[in-house]
Amino acid sequence: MKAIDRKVLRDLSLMRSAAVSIGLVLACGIATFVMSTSTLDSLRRALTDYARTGRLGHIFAPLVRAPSGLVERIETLPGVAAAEARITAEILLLLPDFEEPASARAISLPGIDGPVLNRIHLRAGRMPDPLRSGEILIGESFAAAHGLRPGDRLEAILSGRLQTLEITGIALSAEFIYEIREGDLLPDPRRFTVLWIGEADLAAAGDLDGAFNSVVLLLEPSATARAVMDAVDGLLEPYGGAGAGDRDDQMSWRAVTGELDQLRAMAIIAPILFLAVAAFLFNMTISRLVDRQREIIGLLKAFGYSGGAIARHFLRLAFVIAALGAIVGIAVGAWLGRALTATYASWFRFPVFDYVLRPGIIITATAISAGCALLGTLFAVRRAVRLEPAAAMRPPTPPQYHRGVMEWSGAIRYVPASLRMVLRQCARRPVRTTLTLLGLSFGVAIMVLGTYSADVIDELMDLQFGRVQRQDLTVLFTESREGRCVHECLGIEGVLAAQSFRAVPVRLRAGHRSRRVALLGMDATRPGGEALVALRDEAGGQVVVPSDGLLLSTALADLLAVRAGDMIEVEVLAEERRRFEMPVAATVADLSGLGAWISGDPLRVALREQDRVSGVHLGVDRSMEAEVLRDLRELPAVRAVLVKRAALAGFEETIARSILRMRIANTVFAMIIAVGVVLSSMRIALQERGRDLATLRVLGFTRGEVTGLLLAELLLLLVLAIPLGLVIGHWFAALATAFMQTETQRFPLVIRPATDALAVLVLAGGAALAAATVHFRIARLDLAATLRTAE
Amino acid sequence: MAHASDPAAPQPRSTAGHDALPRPIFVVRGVTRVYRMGEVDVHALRGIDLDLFEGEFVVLLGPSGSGKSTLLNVLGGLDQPTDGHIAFGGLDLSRAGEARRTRYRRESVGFVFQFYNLIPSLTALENVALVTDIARDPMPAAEALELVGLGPRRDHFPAQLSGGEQQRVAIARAVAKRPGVLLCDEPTGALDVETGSLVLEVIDRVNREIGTTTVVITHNAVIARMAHRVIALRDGRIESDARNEVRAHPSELRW
Repeated sequence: MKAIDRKVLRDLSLMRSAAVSIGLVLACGIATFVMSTSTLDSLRRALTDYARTGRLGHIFAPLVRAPSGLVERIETLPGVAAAEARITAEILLLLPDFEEPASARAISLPGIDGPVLNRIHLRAGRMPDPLRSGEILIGESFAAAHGLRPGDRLEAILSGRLQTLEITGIALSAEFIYEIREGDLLPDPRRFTVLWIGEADLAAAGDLDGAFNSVVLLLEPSATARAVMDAVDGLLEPYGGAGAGDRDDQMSWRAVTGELDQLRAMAIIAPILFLAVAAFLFNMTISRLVDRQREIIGLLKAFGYSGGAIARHFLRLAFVIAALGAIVGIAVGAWLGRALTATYASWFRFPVFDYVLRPGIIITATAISAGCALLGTLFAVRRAVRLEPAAAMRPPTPPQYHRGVMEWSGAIRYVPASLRMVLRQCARRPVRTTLTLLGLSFGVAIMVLGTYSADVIDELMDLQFGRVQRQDLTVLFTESREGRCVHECLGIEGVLAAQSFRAVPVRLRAGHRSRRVALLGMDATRPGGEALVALRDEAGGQVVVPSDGLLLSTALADLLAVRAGDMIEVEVLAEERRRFEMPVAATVADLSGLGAWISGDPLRVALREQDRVSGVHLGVDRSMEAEVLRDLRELPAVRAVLVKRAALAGFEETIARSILRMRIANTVFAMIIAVGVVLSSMRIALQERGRDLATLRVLGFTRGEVTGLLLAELLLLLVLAIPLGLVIGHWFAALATAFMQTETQRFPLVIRPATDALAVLVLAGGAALAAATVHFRIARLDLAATLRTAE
Repeated sequence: MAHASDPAAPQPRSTAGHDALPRPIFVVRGVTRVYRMGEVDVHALRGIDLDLFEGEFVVLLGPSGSGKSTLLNVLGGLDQPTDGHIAFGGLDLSRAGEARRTRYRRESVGFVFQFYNLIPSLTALENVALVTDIARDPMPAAEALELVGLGPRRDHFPAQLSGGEQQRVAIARAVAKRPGVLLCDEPTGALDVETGSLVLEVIDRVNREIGTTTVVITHNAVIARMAHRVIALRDGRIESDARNEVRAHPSELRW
């Protein structure tokens, strides 16, 4: 090893605490980058692999009933690679260990090999025998939630008939990577499953012999989905086609791709903050090193070391720190990525979902790390290279101070002499002061950015389940029933209020824009009092469903480019295609997607039917919920009972817990930044002003007073950094929220005061920790030595 | 704490009086100071016995390594003897804790250093105010600057002052608190002859007019002529302790 390389190692060991703080901040940036990109990569790979091997359809078209022969015509449509007809139905499962019924989305199995599209991946057991009735496959999440195994039997209500089903296997499908009921905001694996059953069983139950009610299409690579969907809609119109949709209309697909979008946002925004701070720390520390080693640099140059050799020397030092940061960052990032992937694996069911850390990500992370070090040290290294050997060996010119704004204005008179030191020192190095300020602010910003998502979810939950959907239970019927069933529900002991609704699939048109949605016709809440479902405008005020207009979610109104007062054409997607026009009465906040509401009676008039309901929201006496659920099993044609409390509990168990984990990780990261920046800047302040501080100690200032002077500077910066950090944090949070918006899913930007307060506390805690170490260092100042040396 | 009264410390006086009954302000008995440098012990002081009296102007002479700086540090409460006793009035400096010695420096000691040790970010006046802000009974900072002849330069920063001017600011800073003792460590070491004698004149005036006990360490024997008393140190021991019959005026000194 050359002598100058030994110097790199010696310098490093002398500045190890500074090197460690830079390395850790850098490692945080690299870790968030590696975690999000590798998880993104793993999830995307699992999704695309499974979509391909599982032959996930591109287009899904529900309809009322069409003869089996029609599928051959669909297959010959231009752009269609394959088409498969199937029967789908909603059935109710009665579980021995569970008081309330679970609902299942049943999908027909054409034969022993299963469907050609949306292939079945058997996890356990065997395929049902097409010749034997009542054999089924169930989804893995549901089986896990109830401890069901092949060979177990279930009671089910299929078209009003009680039937015993035998589980022959546990299965997955690319169509249901996320097992969530269409229209639900949260998954509930104990109360919902997908279920595959022989075609004959479903055909018999649904009176669909020789017919189908759903078709799945795989497209040619060159096909345009929109054109094929239009052609399919045209073909299916006479058969009650409810409008074809693509993968983005599928809840499961939307959930997984939504996560991909969020990971992508995280992969960009968070590392930027960390790396900016790391670059700043590099700059501060290496600049200081070059200042302190002026004479050594001069000496080396006098010996004949070239500018390039000097540059390489300091860069090597920075690169060693960068390499250590990269190694730690990649290791921690891989560990976090693996944990995050495991969390996703518990939500999303893939046959193969391995955590993969591609070499490309490692190389990119290393390059980013090196780039950060280079960027951070460039100015300091350039200064070292430009030092003239002779000039370098003379002591630096003493720091110049001049009268500034504070002096001319006379404001300085009100400041004690010791504090004037602080103010002038900050003012003399505006760039460094600004950078330190930014570094501290970024600590606050990271904290806000890392924890505000909990506020968003809280707000979503509170709006959706606290203020809008105030019912406890929702009963869905397999087909519309007469209105008197509302009275049947109210007759159940423990039911306090009921609000029925009529739901129909419609296509809304405004000009050339159109969208397929479920239109909900809302009836009044009985026996009176406050409505169970209380829609809200953006300001939070309650909006009553009018009798002569539509309410649209803001996202839907934006998609259709309509505002209150505009006319909309409503096409009912049932066997009889009725059309009517209606004005938009108002837009409402609906964070779960593309909602459209109308008053129940005008909808029934338009449908030319009387007194039909699709479901009922119920408000119940909480203490009697179990009894109510048991009694609801006796009602005919119940397709599903949604239990709000249970869904929320499931949410707490899964998503809330993972949010908490993220919150903890981000708090640790923010702490590292706060401590790193505060410690580095105070360490340098101590080095630069060590002589002044020692002089003060000799003059009779106590250790506490000297620490207080350094802290006054920190406090001044903190007082400025906190509001600035909150502004930056809110700005980045707004940016991250904007990244997550999709055309159907709207996230509100909510940052609660508690989140801001926590961010401020973490920074203050980091500062306090750093201050304690500085106080300790001041105790070790060599008083006598400073008096005998010139600066 | 900043303004706590300290009955043990001698009160600074406004009139000189070395001709009055001499009272020792410092009593030094059997003081040794051993530093451990790696694996060897360095004996900086080897049993010093010394009395310093109120209003005295003392010059400590000696080559480097003679122990004069160590003695000054011990007198100034910056360092403590390994063995022996040192008392300032009623205060036992050899036993006083860190906090007590800090208070001693704050209230009773004025320091003047070879390299001035001014705070570069503070003006001349502010450098003095830094000390008067925390002292018990200081003179106004501006008055201290007038005393050293720098009234007109009060708003200049150290970088805008010459070396001699900076040292005079340092003297003003040291005397503004009306200290019991003024300790000067090579006050002219970094200055040329002209400027140096100007600085010595100021120190001399402080001693004569305010009566502050003054200890100056130097290896410049010429300076010794202006003292009441000259103590020479060698190898950590007092080699000689003599009184000048006639004190020279600083302007007469040339080196």
